[in-house]
Amino acid sequence: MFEFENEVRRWRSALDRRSSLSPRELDELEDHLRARVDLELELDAALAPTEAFAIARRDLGEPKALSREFARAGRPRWKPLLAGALALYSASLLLPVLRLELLPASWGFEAWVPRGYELLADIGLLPLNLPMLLMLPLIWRKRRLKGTWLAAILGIIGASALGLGVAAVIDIGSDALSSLRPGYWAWSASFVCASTALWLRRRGWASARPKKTLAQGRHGRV
Amino acid sequence: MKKPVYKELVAASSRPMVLSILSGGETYGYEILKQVQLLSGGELEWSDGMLYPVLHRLERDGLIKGRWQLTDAGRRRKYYRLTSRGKRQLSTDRESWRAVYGALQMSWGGSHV
Repeated sequence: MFEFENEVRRWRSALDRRSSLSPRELDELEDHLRARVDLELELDAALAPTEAFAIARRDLGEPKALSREFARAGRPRWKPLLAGALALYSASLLLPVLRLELLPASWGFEAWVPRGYELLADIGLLPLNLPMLLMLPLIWRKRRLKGTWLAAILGIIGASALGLGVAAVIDIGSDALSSLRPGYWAWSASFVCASTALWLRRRGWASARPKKTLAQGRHGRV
Repeated sequence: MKKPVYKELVAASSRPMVLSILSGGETYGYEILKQVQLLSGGELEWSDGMLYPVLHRLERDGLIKGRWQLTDAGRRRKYYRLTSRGKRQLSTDRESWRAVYGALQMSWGGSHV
């Protein structure tokens, strides 16, 4: 026996598996499929639900073709932002980060200005760098990962670092500017950008949550 | 039998078509598709799957804005409306298409043919 709801679920999960469409895009296509089936049944009372479903499914197109059409419509905004974040983070590894008055004056160095990669090896700083280092493999492997916590952690680290930097510049002025080198600002900004990218990505992946029910008849047939 | 409008022209006219339909008020994907068929007398062949990428591109460009609502049947449905930027774009598109149509009319009616 033809079970409409089961067929729709099966169609949706097949489309999900065989395409790169987000849950929101799937929601919209599912609504279209249902509306089309309703219309086909209205137009031809003799039509069996299974035939109406087959027509609607065929006219929506194959998963690969749908995926291609959506991809042609443009890349989501979070991708260039994430690429920018990774570029800034990479740049921060090569740039001087901050002046450290660590070495004894007798060694002849007044200040040591390490580059980012020199600090990356520091075990004490690893917890700060770890979310950024783990982010790409995590979202690569788990396409459905919402990444809310990851976005929050990256955001807190980035915003705190930027905030501390700005506060130091306000308090100390040019001394702070000479201590906090370009690598510091690039490193902080990369975390803020990565966090924003993950938030945008999460919005796109999350299934739609409508706010209220439509007033009856406001938009015609529903 | 009349040949359908070729797909490049269908694609080029998709933006002004969607914007024009939405200038009549907020509506959703399936209704837009039905309107296109109605307005073109079935001569513009829009595939069901083609519409949504177009809508998403227009939304990304800030020309339309979508919002999710629950229908009375409890289904999630995305409704689109025209933004002020979309209204400006529609007016520009209208002028462009009128210019193209006018030039073609002149060339068909004049000595060029």
